Amino acid sequence: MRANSCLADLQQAAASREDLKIEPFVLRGTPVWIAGLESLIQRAKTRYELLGSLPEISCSFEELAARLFGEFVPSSELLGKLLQGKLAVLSGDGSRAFVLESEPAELRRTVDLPKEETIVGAPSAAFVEDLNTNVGLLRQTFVSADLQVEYVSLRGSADKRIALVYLRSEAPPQLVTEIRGRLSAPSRQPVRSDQALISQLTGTRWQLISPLYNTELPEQVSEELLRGRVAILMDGQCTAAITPSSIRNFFAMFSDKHFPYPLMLAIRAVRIIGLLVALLLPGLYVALIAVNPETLKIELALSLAMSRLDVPYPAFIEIIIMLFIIEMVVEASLRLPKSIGPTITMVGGIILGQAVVQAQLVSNLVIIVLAATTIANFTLVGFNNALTIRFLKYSIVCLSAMYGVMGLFAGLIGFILYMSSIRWYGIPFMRLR
Amino acid sequence: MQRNASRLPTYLFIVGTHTGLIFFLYAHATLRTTAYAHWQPAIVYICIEALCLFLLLAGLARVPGKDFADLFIPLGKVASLLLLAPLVAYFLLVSLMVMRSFAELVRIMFVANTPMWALLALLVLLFMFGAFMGGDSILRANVVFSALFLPVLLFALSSCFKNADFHYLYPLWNSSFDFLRKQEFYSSMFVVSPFLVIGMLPPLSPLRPRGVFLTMLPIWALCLIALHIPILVFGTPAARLLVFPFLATMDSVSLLWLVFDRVTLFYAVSIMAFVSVHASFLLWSIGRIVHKRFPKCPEKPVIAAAAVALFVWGLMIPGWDWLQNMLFWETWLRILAVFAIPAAVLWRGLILSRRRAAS
Amino acid sequence: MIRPRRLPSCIALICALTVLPGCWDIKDINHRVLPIIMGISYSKDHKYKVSLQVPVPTARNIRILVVSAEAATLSKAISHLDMNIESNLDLTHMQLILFDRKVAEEGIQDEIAFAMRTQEIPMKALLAVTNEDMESFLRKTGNSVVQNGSSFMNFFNKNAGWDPQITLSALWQAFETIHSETKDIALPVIRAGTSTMLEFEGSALMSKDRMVGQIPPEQSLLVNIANNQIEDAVLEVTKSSSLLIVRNSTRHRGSIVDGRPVLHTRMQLSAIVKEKHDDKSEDEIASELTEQIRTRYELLYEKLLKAKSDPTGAGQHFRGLLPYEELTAWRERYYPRLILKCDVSTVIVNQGNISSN
Repeated sequence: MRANSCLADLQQAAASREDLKIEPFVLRGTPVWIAGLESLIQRAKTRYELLGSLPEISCSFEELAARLFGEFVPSSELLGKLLQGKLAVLSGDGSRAFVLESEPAELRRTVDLPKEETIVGAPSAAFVEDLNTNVGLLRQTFVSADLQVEYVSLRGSADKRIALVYLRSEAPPQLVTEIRGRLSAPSRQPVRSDQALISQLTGTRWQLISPLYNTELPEQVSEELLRGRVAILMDGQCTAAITPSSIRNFFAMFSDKHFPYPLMLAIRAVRIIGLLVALLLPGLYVALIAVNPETLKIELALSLAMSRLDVPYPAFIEIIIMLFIIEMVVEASLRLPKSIGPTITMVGGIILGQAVVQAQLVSNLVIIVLAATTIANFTLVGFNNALTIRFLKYSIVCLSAMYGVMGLFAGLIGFILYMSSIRWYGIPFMRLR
Repeated sequence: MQRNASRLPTYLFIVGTHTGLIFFLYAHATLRTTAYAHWQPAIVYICIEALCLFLLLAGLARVPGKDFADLFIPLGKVASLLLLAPLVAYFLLVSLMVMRSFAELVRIMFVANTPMWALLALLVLLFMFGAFMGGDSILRANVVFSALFLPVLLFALSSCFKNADFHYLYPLWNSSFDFLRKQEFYSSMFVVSPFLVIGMLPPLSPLRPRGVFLTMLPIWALCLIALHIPILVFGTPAARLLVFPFLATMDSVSLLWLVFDRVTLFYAVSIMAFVSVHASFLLWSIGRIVHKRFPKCPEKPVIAAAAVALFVWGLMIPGWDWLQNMLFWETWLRILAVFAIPAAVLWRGLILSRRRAAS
Repeated sequence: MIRPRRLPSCIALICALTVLPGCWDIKDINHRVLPIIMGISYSKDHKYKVSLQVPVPTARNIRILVVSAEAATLSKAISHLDMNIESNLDLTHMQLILFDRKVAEEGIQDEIAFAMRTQEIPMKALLAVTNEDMESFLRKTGNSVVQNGSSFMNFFNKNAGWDPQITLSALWQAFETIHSETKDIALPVIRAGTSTMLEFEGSALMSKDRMVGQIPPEQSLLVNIANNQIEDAVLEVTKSSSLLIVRNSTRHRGSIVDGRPVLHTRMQLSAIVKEKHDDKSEDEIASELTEQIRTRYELLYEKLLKAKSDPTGAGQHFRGLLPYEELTAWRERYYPRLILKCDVSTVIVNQGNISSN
């Protein structure tokens, strides 16, 4: 019983995992069992390479392990290694086993163009799902002995592998220690998503602004590393999470630096204005229409009154309805297949742009306001950041509906106070560096 | 370079707290002190502020990193209470006055039908929110406010010169100095009070007296400009009739090329940013001082209690005239806070630094 | 580190705010009535009659509505109107406050104070006087507003149809000068035009809050020149030529001689020759213009001093010369005895594309 425990355990495991294959094999005169998950390993190629890497002399089991760079593991850890895509070689009696690297099945995407962050005139390799590839991309972008990579082991079987990447000369040591400590603390839930990662890092899930800034561009990551931040790479995620995030990440990208300095400033100014427009414009509309029309010029006031003449509900309801429709259009078109996307855009465009106004359900200025808001929202860098602003504009619309322009500004002041109060690991969010 | 950069928020904060008052209550407060030659009371105010600021900074510079509470608490239970209680009361009064006047301004100028409780609720919530965020957050937010709103306000200020008639500067000299005998002069002295917040700054960021004084120079210039713009546009007698002369002056400017018509509304709400910085910081200071004096009281409930007190108190004031009366009644408190506190800080500073040198 | 656990409470606060039963000043713009002209006149039964010209937007264009109410006070009349109009009356877009001549002659201090006090009426609203019946004036002008929405604004707009003769006075200026010791305004006197919307009859001379006389358009042009208010070119016809005054700068200096105020006025005009009849030299043309402006200005001042009205702000130049107590008596004791020393000089800039020889 004890003698062939490895084999027996594996056979037992294979009963409910039919992709686990265990087969007898003769390696240079020694009968062995080789085992591996056929879903992760190319079996034929592996066998061929296994034979090719051994000299044509007969070897004992120990010699095989040494020549193949095998690592002996106890029976209890064997299955775990196999699940990571390794190959196990068991002695003929099944009592001992070593594992070695194998030829993986082709489950991985090759390095590709960025899907979400299209950039103009800059290197455009993007992260993929595989952690090693991603670390490799970083090493390639940033050739320096300074670049530190730490793999953090998280507890719990469902957790993914996580790599901490930082520059020893730039990142403050206490920041790295802090992040490492928080990551290795016991977690309430399996860390498989950014949300879990955020709650692991900050201790709360109720944060509107993420401490992580996700990017799929290795170039952007190396820029942030130079600013002394830490990148967290998670296996299976095709973005790197840079932490701590700052207000800079709302409007600054590294690829801006491929343009002359004044143009870069102009581009960033556009994004800052975009932030303010996306946050304030719907609220401003409500405030001006419903509470403070005296700030409009008389000509504009009259033409607005004309366009709203038969609109049956107050400006607040009007804009909330339309904002919701826009949110749904955005949400729907995100997940639509590429072939149907244009249809929805067209239908949405025609419905919103033409029919709603002609049916006098909303005034035509609302359409302009909505278009400007939506466009402005996507001038912001980072989908996360755009989402934050998309969400926060509703509170400002509500305040404006009650207090007019005063409420609008109260909302803005509150927003700025809130942002100023955020600190990640003791580092304020509101800083430009 | 790095050290200078880190001081910028502090200096901007001093500008911000003053801006909240200068663009808002300063002109009216100074205009009512005398019939003409208003630069005289304004200069006297500036001198008073400079003197008290000098005492305060001289004291604070001797014991770096200590605020009012740290300086006074070692004096013993009774003495520290005697010094800190009026200070806290005064902070509360200043925030009450600022808040209530701002609500009145909004009601007079913009939204006549909104009930007072709703306006006060919004302001109190905003101030309390700011105070909860803590002093350093307020400093940081103030940098953003300065970047967003100071240019707007300075633009508004400069656009007012379009309507100015400089002959209204005359007559220049009032030899009677009658304002010194008027109670209004003393009750309007709250306009110099923002310098007291500097006493709460040392734990947040290091202060350099020279830098603070250099910051005060443009502020004092701004005081004189803000006072004289209504005079230049409306003439002294008409300007004295107005409750918010400065905003009225902004209202008189017509800029045909602007997108909006009555931009005064936007100026007024820009002032709200600085008003909230000032009031939030005062509330936070109250929480800080009380917490340091009575370590058992945590900061946030104290701030919340102060905010509720502000709200209730603000509601109990029936009208603008009462607000002015209240200013009369608390004159003694103001004189105590403005003169006695800086003097006490200097005294403590001298004693502590001498003791440290001896040991 | 500050644990950001307070966010739920912030959200709760914002949510709590939204459910407050808040609808105080919330009236959508299409439920507001925005009058642009307010006419104030006296009526037989009550003290005031307030007439409003209101543009009412309809689906295709703007209809003009004229409504009136009579009451003992202005605010009472306005609240009457508010009751009768189905939407909410909102005075915040008032562009022009029109006084009946009788009202202006009785004094407009209370009316101005009312307008300043409400804060609803913008301080930039212009003031004018009319001799016509208020309602018919508002109806007639309303018709041309329907045809061209901006015609009314253009009449007073310095960047559009404003003519240099028209004296412009805003509400805030009236408030300023009513309380000022040393300054007055001149209000334009207008009537509804036959072919155009408005016609300019001249300027009403105000002494503090009272209208004390009227000057014709040529003289109100001089008031504007004296105040450096000309931003446009203005045509001036002399005996032998037509000149376009393209620039003017006027300086005043006050002095007290033997207890009498003396005002030195220097006008520098730059003109372009547009037409000339006789073969006169540039110098002759220039001196003709100089002489014409100077005599007309002196005539204007005679009138102003007699009426004790100071629309050119002559008194301003004596503020530094007299002690404060004397200033308060300026209008009575000094202004009527003012001596004007006027000095006009003209520079001919060019004669167009035809040279003189």
